[in-house]
Amino acid sequence: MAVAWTIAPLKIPYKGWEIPVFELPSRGVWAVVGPNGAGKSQFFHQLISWSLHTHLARIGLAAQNPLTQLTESTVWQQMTWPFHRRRQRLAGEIEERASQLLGDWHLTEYRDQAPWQLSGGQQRRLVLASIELLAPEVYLLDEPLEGLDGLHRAVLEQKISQWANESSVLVSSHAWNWLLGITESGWWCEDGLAAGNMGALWYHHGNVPGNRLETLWRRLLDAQVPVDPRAWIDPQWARGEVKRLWSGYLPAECTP
Amino acid sequence: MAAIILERVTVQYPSRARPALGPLDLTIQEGECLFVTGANGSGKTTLARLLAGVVHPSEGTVRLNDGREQSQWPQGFVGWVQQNPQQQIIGTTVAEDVALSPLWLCATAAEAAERLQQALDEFNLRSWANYPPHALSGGWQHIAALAAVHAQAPGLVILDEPEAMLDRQGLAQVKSWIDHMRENRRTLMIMGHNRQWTSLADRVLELEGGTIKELSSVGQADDDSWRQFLEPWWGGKNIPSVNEVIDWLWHGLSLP
Repeated sequence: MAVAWTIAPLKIPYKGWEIPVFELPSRGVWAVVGPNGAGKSQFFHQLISWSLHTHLARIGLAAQNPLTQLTESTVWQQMTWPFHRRRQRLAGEIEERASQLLGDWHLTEYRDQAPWQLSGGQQRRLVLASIELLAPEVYLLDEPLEGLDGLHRAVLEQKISQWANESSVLVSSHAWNWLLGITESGWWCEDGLAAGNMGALWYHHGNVPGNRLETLWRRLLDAQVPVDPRAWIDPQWARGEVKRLWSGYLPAECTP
Repeated sequence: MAAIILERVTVQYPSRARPALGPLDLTIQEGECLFVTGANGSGKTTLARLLAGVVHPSEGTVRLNDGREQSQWPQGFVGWVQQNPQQQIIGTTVAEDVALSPLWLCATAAEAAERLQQALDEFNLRSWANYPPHALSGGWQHIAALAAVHAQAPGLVILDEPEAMLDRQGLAQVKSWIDHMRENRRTLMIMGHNRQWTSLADRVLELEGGTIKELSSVGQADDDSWRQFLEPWWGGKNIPSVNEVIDWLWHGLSLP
């Protein structure tokens, strides 16, 4: 992991824990997973606070509740307000980029509508589009899936993989199956942050089964069967893993 | 309690070119669980707002099958947990917020206090009871909003994206509460994008552009990933148990 910024220490006020040294990666996708009330959102807010005080990294936050970020009277003004702060005329390329992003998120037809009149999913898309326009070095996405329909989940996945080439994307979510598909690494957040491989984090912490395939997978891992812990998210991947084992042998240390 | 009937209902917001909902004909049976899905902006939340009485139909009627118009429904008949719990939390502490509905609806203070205690227990909220709601994480705010609706004891429960921001423990709690509501013949309307809710529903209503795209009954609960995983091998016949799969895998038997 290429480290872009080192923050020492990072204190989480409400929960009362602190991270002695937090290394913020320069690019890639990283999950932040943990139970309700563990301090994930506070962790994000502390990163924002660090950035505001140090001016070391430009951070874009998509908060859990998009309404808290929608302050302007139209969708277009919401997109472009940061560029009007010094009463400058909006540069042509910014205008073009803003229009393009509204198109990417299927919001063009709502350009002159008030953000509070949009549906929950549309509001979230507007926040994501606004952040993208600012091209931050770090994206903090707090429960970004909430309110998004299938089509826009796919848009988000594509965008995350694009953003991750240039920026660091930290995603907080409870959707293990989604996180396991978009990233290989992350942190478990509970009385601190523990870094790990996503498969291992799921095996150790995602202990309330979601579906039957996931349950089966957990039992294979309990029996130390050497399958990829992430494979249950995709039936074809899971099937490939089992076929591979079927045609080979099981190591002696496996216990049924 | 009785069935809810929507007849040729249209909801038109001011300064919008087309109706947000309708024309819509729909009957929701007493004790039914209806899962309402559809793309962002398809009218799901407007349907919830309509049934909760927050918006009124521009055309058509909403009534119970005993003839009572919406204005004659009993107080507290509709309980709505919104997508964003912050929009409905008004108490200065969690306990105060949960107690508001019973205080408004109950005949005596003792009865209201009993409902409050019941709701706090049902959702494991005792340790948060004296906290200001804004100090809670998003997931716990969602649970607090559910507890407030539980204390209200409504005839129709509307849950807008009930899995939002919840960890797996919280989700299991919500599912068990929904089961409990169903046993008590409460009418439920679950709205969202996550198909997991179809397994709890009697019917699925898909909205598109404010009108019904599809309204269908739900048969045996399906688990697609499980079926996709196994069916290519067993051809859909005699699908083995998890134990059998592990056992076969362990002993390296050839596929049946």
